[in-house]
Amino acid sequence: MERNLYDERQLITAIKSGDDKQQNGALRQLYMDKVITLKIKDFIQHYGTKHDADDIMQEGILLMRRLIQEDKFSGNSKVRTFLIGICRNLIRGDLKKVTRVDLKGDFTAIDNDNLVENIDDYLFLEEQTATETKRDNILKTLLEQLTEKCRESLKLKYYKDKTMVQIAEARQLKNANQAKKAVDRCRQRLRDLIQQEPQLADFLKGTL
Amino acid sequence: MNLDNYDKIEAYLFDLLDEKERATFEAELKKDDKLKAEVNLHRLEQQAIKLQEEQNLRAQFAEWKQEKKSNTEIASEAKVVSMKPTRRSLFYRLSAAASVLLVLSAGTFWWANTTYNNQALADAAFEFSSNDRSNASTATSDFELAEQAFTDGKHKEAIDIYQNIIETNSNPTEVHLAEWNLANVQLAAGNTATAKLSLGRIAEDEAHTYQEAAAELLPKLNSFWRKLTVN
Repeated sequence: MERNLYDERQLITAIKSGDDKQQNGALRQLYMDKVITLKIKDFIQHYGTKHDADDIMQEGILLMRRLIQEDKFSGNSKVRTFLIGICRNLIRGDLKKVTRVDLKGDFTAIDNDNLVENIDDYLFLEEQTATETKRDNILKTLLEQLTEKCRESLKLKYYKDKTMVQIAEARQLKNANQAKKAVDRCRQRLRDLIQQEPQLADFLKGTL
Repeated sequence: MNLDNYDKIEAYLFDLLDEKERATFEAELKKDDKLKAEVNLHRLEQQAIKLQEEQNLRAQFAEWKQEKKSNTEIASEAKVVSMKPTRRSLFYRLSAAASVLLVLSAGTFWWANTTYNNQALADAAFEFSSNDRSNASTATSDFELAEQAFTDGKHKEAIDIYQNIIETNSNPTEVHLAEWNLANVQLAAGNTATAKLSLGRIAEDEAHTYQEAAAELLPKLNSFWRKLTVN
């Protein structure tokens, strides 16, 4: 059996860290957790769904990650339990796409079994609308038109919030100035693609 | 790109404005279509970057899923042998166990007999007289005769000689030797009760040369292993 590298508190720290290696290590630990997988399989059997445990686990982990990175989750000893609760909710909802996830109430004092059973009292999942799904699918196709390096620059700047010096180092560019030019160029390219896409016109107007 | 609006838009979209600032900004949005379009564009950019990150993670999940699958396949391939024994294999296992038990039992009986039967104990304890008998009061031949009789298995003869030595000998050391060997010959002859009595007396005599030896031998006569011997 694999030894867990992170305890509950360390899982949260690693996922928030912004360091790919640490974050991936933490997410992998959750994904490979046999107890969580077995619980999910129990729920699948109980509620019935065509999706397999791995699919459920993936979506659950992505939502859990969002909660942690948006500083909404601070329960220092309930990461695994909460993840099981999220997955249970996803199974009951037949793995519908979620556009927003939020927490309500204080669940830190509740015991694990009751938390999973009553997860609806603490978890808010807003289902993605058909329009939002359409929007995301269009954006994904636009992203494919950017180069790998461009996508990497945008991720480092706008998702990882790295400085230009750090981006220059990661992208092996000469200096921060070059990194800034690369980021600005890539961002402009993405903006142009969005603005030129007719199917996104209504989103830009704000009518959707 | 309007950089003046950039920070404001970022703050608005990430919910970093206070109530008053937010209200002011939203009022501006209602009046300014260009600003509205800028905010919406910004929103779409952010969403695209978030989607890109999730795409990267999903690719990672696909690798881990493959790894999980490989680990499960290896684990299930290792299960080659059925846990439930077939009737035939059970018969062979029982036969093998019975054979081992038989061999062990035979071995145990043999060992017990060679170690704990009367003759074996007597042979191990019996002491042959010293060659240096310059102070001897009994004729060399008496001890030698008794020892020869014991060796030849002529137990009654050896008993008689040793009893005579005990009655007539004035040398304590020689008497002690005769008493010790007499007890052993009694044992070899199958007179276990008599031997036990003699050994008991020797073991209680602190002055006896063979007190310790008798104390060591006595428990062996009461050993569990003697139940497996043929005497």
